[in-house]
Amino acid sequence: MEASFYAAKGRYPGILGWIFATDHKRIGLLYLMSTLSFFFIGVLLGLTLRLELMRSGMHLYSAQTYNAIFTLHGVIMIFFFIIPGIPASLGNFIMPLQLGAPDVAFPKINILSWWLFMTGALLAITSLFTGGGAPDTGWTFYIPYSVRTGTNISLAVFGVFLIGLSSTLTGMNFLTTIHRLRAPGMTWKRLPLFTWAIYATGWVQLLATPVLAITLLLIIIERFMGVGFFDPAKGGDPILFQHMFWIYSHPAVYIMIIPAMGVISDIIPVFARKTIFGYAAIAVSSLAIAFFGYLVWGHHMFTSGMSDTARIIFSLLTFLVAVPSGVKVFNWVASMYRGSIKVDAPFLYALGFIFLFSIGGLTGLAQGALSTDLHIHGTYFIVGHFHYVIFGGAVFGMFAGLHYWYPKMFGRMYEEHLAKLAFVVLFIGFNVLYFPMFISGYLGMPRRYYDYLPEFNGPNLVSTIGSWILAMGLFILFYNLFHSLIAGKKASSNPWGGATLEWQTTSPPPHENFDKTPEVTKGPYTYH
Amino acid sequence: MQRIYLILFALAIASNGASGHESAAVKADIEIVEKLGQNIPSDAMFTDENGKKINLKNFIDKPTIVAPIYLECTHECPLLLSGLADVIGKLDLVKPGKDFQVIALSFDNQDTPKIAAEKKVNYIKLINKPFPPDAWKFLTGDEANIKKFTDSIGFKFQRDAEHEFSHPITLVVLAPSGKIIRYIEGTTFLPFELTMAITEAAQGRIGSPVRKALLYCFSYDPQKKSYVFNILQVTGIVMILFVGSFLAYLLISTKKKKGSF
Repeated sequence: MEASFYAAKGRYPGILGWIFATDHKRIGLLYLMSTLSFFFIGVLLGLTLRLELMRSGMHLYSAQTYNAIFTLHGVIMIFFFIIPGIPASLGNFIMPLQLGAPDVAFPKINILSWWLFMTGALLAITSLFTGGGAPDTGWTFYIPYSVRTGTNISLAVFGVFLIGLSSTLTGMNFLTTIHRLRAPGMTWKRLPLFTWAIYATGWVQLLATPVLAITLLLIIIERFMGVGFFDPAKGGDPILFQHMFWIYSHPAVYIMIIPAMGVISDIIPVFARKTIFGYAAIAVSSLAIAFFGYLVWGHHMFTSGMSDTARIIFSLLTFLVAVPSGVKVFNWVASMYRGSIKVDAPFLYALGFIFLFSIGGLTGLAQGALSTDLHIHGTYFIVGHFHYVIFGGAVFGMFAGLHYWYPKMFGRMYEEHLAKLAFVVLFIGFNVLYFPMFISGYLGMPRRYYDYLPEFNGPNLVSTIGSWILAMGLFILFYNLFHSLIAGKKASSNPWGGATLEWQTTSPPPHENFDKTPEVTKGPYTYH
Repeated sequence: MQRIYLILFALAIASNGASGHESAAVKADIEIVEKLGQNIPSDAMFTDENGKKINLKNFIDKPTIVAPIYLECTHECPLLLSGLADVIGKLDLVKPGKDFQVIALSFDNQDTPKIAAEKKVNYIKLINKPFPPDAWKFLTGDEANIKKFTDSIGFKFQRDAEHEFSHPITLVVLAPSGKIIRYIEGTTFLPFELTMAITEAAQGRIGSPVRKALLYCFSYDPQKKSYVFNILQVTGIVMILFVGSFLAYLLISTKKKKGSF
């Protein structure tokens, strides 16, 4: 048996062997470490925001600093953590293994993507300390403020542009890999659902990200050349910016959530010891979400000025996109029915995902309906909703995947009791933090403000306390994962009894994944 | 949608407003007959606000914005001039006195350099930014010279009373050679519009690479009377073609031999 990829001798020794690696597993881990680092920064910023908002009239820092911090929290969490989070880290590591491939189709483009990602991230971080100071526009860079503010927008926007380029390259790379490098017998109908999800995500990345790139370039041209694309004072159209921004950024929500759904679809059958219910429906629903998700961006702009016809169509399409999401949730629940369920940590996180994502999804429908949206638009209801979807959905999905594939990636087991404890604390903290936002938002508390009226003191205090519980949960979770890198028990090649190909090689896998090319003779969730 | 109607409505009003006072006696022959590409006469003489005689054509040695107005006007002319002063304050890429100059030219032969000097002080103040006073001249002249000039730019107006005219509202942008490059109608202007017109009027003698790039990317649409940028549609189509051909490439071309690794 070959040595694991950690021991494989590459072209360069030591740290260079990592940052110039072309092995998809090493690149996946590079992404994991870099995105998690950004996640920690984002969490710290989020905690200071919650502290600032603990009580009305109590101020830790100035309003300008508050604007900069919530912008930073959004930009880091969205662009630096969760968009590359699952596809680029877990996707990179696991997807080629699930295909039975030795690597991705273009290993050098793969490492180029990581370099672009890091360059973009470093540029954006540089923008905080240079020029006119940290950007203060919110992560959406709405016009006209973003072309008029004196803060260092151009550099930050260029950083995000590079990250977009990196995302597009990753998407192309994965699509080609899935089309070309499947092992013999790995037909489309035997593709694990996580890989199906990565496939659907790849198309979204390829189709949507260039729009972001164009939009951001236009902002830079507008700022440097004074051409009026978006700023009305120069003859531009600010609504055009909102359209172009959301044409990318709404599908980006699906870049975040579809891979997380893929993780859940892979975990549930393994821990229910039962084949997945409605394999084809889940695979097709990923593609359907990717397709419809591309056509619903207008629902972010119901109050921005659009014709009623446009608003009704966008609203209808928004309801339609809930259908494939619902299909998935019902299929997961049906897969558990009469299974012989083993409640291990990955399964717990998957259950957490289903619960939190359902709340996030259902509150999303309240916003998709025109009449209710007019009431809750721009309030904390929205903040609650997207944290349920993105944190409760995408990030819990990522945590589920991290626990599920941890033994495969690192060759060791984490402490099971601690992982469960972390889940319970995290789950309680999460709901205490974000649920009150639905209430204060419904009562009319506006988002993005530095201060609020005393009548909202109650829910905000509860939220802030929740943020501390949540932070504790995160601390236990990552303490467990990091500590087990050294102290964990050695993991077997297939600790959960999975049937997909990544479990048929050693933990951690050798340099080119399999000693010999696997032959696939059965479906991914066939346990007998 | 309502907002779009409002904008259209406002535009309609603005374009009506582009032709002088609405008095019953007029309507006959108040208009601009565009004479793009033609030259202004070489012998029209005017007097500037300091009382100095100048030959208009010789004076124009750089891209020049001419605003035909009359100084006693209480209606659109002040709007036009303050709109002009306002936009000049917003120009970043072109420098007054170096890249362009401005002339307010009175078509009322009863206007004098003295009134011109008074008006000039006010409008220079309105620019709200340091401005070289020599880059904006207020010219007056006699009837024959005025007619030579206004005929050459196709500017048709008529006197209604002692100090009252019916006349079109427009700026004329001239090249250093005296050639007519662009008409910009209305009383409010976009910095971009003016920058582009000045850049075109420079006729290739442009130093700034940014302005060269602008000239390359935008073209003037005479029907819409504005500068147009089509790249959004183009990139949209290019993107869909790109993604489509990538899918075709993945589906059609032969697969790598399985098991070859």
